[in-house]
Amino acid sequence: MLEVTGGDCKIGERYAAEEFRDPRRVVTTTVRVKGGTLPLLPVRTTGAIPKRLVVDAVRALDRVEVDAPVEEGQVIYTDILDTGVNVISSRELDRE
Amino acid sequence: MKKIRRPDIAVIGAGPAGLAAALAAREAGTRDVMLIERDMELGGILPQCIHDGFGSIVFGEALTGPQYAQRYIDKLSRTDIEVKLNTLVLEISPKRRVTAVNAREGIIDIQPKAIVLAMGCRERTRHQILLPGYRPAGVVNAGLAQRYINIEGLMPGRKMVILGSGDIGLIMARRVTLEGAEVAGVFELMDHPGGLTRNVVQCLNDFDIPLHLSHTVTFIHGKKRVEGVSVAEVDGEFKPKMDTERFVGCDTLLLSVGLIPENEISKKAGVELDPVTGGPVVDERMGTSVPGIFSAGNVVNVFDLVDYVSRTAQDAGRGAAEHVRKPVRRKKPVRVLPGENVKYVVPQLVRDTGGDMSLYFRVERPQRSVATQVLAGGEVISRRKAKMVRPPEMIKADISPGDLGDRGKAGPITVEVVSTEE
Repeated sequence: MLEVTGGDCKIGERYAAEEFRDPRRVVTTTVRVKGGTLPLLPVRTTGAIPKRLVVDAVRALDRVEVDAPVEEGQVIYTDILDTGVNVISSRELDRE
Repeated sequence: MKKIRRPDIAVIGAGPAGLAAALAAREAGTRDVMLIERDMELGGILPQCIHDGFGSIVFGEALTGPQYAQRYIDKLSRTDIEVKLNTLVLEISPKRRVTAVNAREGIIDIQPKAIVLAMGCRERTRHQILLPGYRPAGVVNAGLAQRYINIEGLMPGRKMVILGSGDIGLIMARRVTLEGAEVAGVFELMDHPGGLTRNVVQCLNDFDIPLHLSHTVTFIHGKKRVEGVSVAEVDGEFKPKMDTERFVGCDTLLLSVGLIPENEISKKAGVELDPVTGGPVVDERMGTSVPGIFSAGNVVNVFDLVDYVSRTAQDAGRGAAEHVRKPVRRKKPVRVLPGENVKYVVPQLVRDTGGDMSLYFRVERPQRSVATQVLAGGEVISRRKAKMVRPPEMIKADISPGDLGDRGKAGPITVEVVSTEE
């Protein structure tokens, strides 16, 4: 890659370079909850993981079930697919 | 005799706008703030927006919708603001009498000193766009599908066609794919995508979902359940070119065809609406045409960043607090007008030309190599260059007291886009 052009800000420049060399994505999905006020808990990766691992990461989280109550930021899955990135809860969820 | 509740301020809606407005009013010193929400929990639309990208301006982080909501919900829980959940506001009279209802209390009469309208928006329906066909199961608005999937754990179907490439349609294309459905294609009426470029890349390109610009759905097939749709290219006037019509098999049609500010209650209260935004005409304090009634968030106009919703909602909360403290006769306002290639500007009025303010606006059509500028009394008081401006990306222009001076009092303020190409 020689240079990034056409953008209006520095953050965009860094993003474009990364998209070209090593595209990464933050993954967000839901996991099942037992005994909560709602049946699902939204979760997110704490950082971006390689783009090619996104579908497998979601599949791994499909098998997870957590017990209510859950705190916001609580770690739901440690080191997903050996990326060093954790998956945490996006919200507080009370017991039913 | 039924008791009438008399809070200082009643905030209608506890989504990001209502939460920020209620907190700002309380922080500004208003004692008795009541927050009324029809849903079973706080947060409005945010709890179902599980993707990230919220809060980069307010918090300097890319939070998910639920995380952004949690910040305000946690703050609220540390105050004495009264919250009524599962409570629907039926009507607001021009004299600011609020009639609400819930299962526990029945009909509730509220007479606040000031009101903040924060009801958000609703999705445009299949019937509003006159989509021909029978009425099979499987025609679902994208935002509703988002609630089914992310809150209730239900999948609307297995093979989808999406009409509309606004952000909701793009986000849902990715979401249903990750949940095991197949998206046959996204069809967009305009010749450019409706949502952020980042979403086109991360929601469509990442999953090889085709985007068909200048296309529309011409017929929905199936009587009991969707069996497929007919799609066709459209011409310069957005009319389908019938010789391009073809059949796409699917069991679900997701509609992402626009958001409409929810102003039924505002109309009954006598609030003047702007036909272009679909929301109340507001001044820089988010005050409406009815003194004592303020408005915030997507009910004013559909924002793309929740950060801007929170900021303008704080203005509304402070405006309401000020009105409670000292209801004064308002100054005659200066109009803010949309100029060349500007579709609309919010606020539409400025009363205090001596204060800091932000103008939020959208362009009519995409344009490259431009400068967006604000004019007062015929002179350019603010100017910013941009390589590209697009309708889906709202623009903010900040004005400070020094900029306007006497020119602001003279006549209308205009926001326009000019080309910087040689």
